[in-house]
Amino acid sequence: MLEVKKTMTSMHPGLILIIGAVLAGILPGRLRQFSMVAAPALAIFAVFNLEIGTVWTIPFINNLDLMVLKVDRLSWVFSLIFTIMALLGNIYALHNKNWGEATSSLLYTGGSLGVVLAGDWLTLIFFWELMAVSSVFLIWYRGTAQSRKAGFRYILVHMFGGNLLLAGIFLKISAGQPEVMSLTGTTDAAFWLILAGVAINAAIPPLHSWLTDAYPEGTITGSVFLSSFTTKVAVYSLIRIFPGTELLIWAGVIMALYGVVFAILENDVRRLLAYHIVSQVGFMVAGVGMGTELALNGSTAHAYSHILYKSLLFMGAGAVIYATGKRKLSDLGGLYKQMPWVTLFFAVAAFSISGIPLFNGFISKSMIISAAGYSHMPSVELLLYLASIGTFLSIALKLLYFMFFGEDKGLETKKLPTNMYIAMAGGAFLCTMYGLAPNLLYNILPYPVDYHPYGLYHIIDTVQLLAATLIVFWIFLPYMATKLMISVDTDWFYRKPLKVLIHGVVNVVCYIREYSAAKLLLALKSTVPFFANPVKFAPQAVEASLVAYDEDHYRFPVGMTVLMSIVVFLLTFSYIIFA
Amino acid sequence: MSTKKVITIASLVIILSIIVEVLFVDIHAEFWWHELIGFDVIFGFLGCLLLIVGAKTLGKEFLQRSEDYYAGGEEDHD
Repeated sequence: MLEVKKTMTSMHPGLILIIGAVLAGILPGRLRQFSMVAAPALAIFAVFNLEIGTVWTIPFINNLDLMVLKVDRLSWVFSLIFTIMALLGNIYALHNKNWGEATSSLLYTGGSLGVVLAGDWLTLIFFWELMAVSSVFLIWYRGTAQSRKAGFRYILVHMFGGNLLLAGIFLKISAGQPEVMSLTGTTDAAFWLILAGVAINAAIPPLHSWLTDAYPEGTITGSVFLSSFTTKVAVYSLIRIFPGTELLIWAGVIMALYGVVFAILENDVRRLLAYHIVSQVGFMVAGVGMGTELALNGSTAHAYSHILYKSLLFMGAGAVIYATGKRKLSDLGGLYKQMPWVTLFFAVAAFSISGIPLFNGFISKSMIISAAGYSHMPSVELLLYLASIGTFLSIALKLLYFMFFGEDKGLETKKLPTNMYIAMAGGAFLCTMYGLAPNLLYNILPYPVDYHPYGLYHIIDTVQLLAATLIVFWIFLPYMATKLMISVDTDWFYRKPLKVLIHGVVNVVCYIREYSAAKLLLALKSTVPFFANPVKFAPQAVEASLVAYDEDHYRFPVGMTVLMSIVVFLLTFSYIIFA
Repeated sequence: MSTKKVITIASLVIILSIIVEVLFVDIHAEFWWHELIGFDVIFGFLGCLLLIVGAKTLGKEFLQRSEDYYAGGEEDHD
């Protein structure tokens, strides 16, 4: 039997967010804003009240127990960053008049906490699907034709992934293993199904294109949430279920480079950032694949840092889009004069993601790269190193330069709501705080940490790497400006050939239907004369067309028909009576 | 800032960092190439060059399409 240990003071933080979502949906104006801030704040409080080792179980059908809350060090650190992010994201969205967006974003965050704290497969899949269903509204609420279509593609891909996961989970439960546990080392169907389901959410190429397709189409505030949760919940699931699965090392390295290459070409600001989610999650996935304590700590820490700086990047990009109405890098430029604070906050995030010392990306990314070194994987280490060059190149140099500096396009800017500034300042503060005091993060990681990022050797290496990159960027500056073009990605397969295929199949079916209907009609018409009144033919032969044709002329009078019916009835009736 | 200025500053930083590396850093690397002085400068330079040229070539040859490639003029019809 499962041990039930309940402390009255603790509360499921995901549940608080879901209650907050309901309240945000029904309360008006100020009260809604209050619930948008109060729910995440209470959830952070609830996370601090959770004791490691707490387990809640609820009886369910078929003698199964739902383990809705199971806290260990791994789920605790993810719960903490998710609730912090829920607070920052909601502050950023506070000016929003749309109650539906507030509700769906709170449900989405509540769902991700549900997954992270789930102890059994059924609870996990329930919250997993809740995340997919609630997050699609953050895309649809943008209200453009593109966002509606991208939203449909997003939800279809996630439903497909969710069903793969569900199939794997059914196999696990019918095999009598209802608890979420590591599947590393097994190679049965359940392993592959669950891996595929999680890999879709982790955006591992070629299953990643839903992310770069949908995230740039989300609402300004919605994309901030989107960038933080789905992929990081998938990273959590990979750490929990597949630590040390070697396949993931190379999947991660490919991801890290794939995102970087596409980001260099990209012109849409938020799509560029989305490619860097793929790239950064690649580091985490590679860390999961290595599976050593340092690597798993590194993946957890990098997910933690990534949520902070990536949401800040999306907030900054969102603020620029809000103020200027422009989303393409080729339309932007010279904004640092109009938006000095946004430039500062964006720069903090850009330095963090690039792994510049004193910011939080440095303390977490270096753990994963070092872990590759300690595990004696030289090619993995060098390729991840190469990917960090690309990160610095496209975010800290290309994006920062072409958006805020570069050629001044003389753009008119709209005033930003104060709450946006507060949220960005909060994010920038946390990025710098963890960069300056890495032990704040290291102390809450799942395994004990014996790692010191601020060695002189390490700092010198980073400075040399970044300075060299800067020189190349500046030499190629005219060449780096993006063109008014889009890049095709693996979503091409379901947006072009699949479209043609579906249209083709529909056309063939329609053709067959119409052709056979036409032929059948012809056949039917040709038989019609044979079903006409046979008497009609007889006199025509004789009388030809002497008199005008009159149908009633050859018809029995009605009275005759009635008389015959009565006779038949009487005969039958008398037969029944007398016989 | 002019190209010359930026490159001069970055080069000064690199030279300074190499001096520090030679004088103060006690190297304990996992692989031999990390023990080379200034390895990261070369790696950063060549790596960045490779990424830019590689990505731009891939884009030009295979990936990039005009902006209404998917829409074909019908995307905004509702």
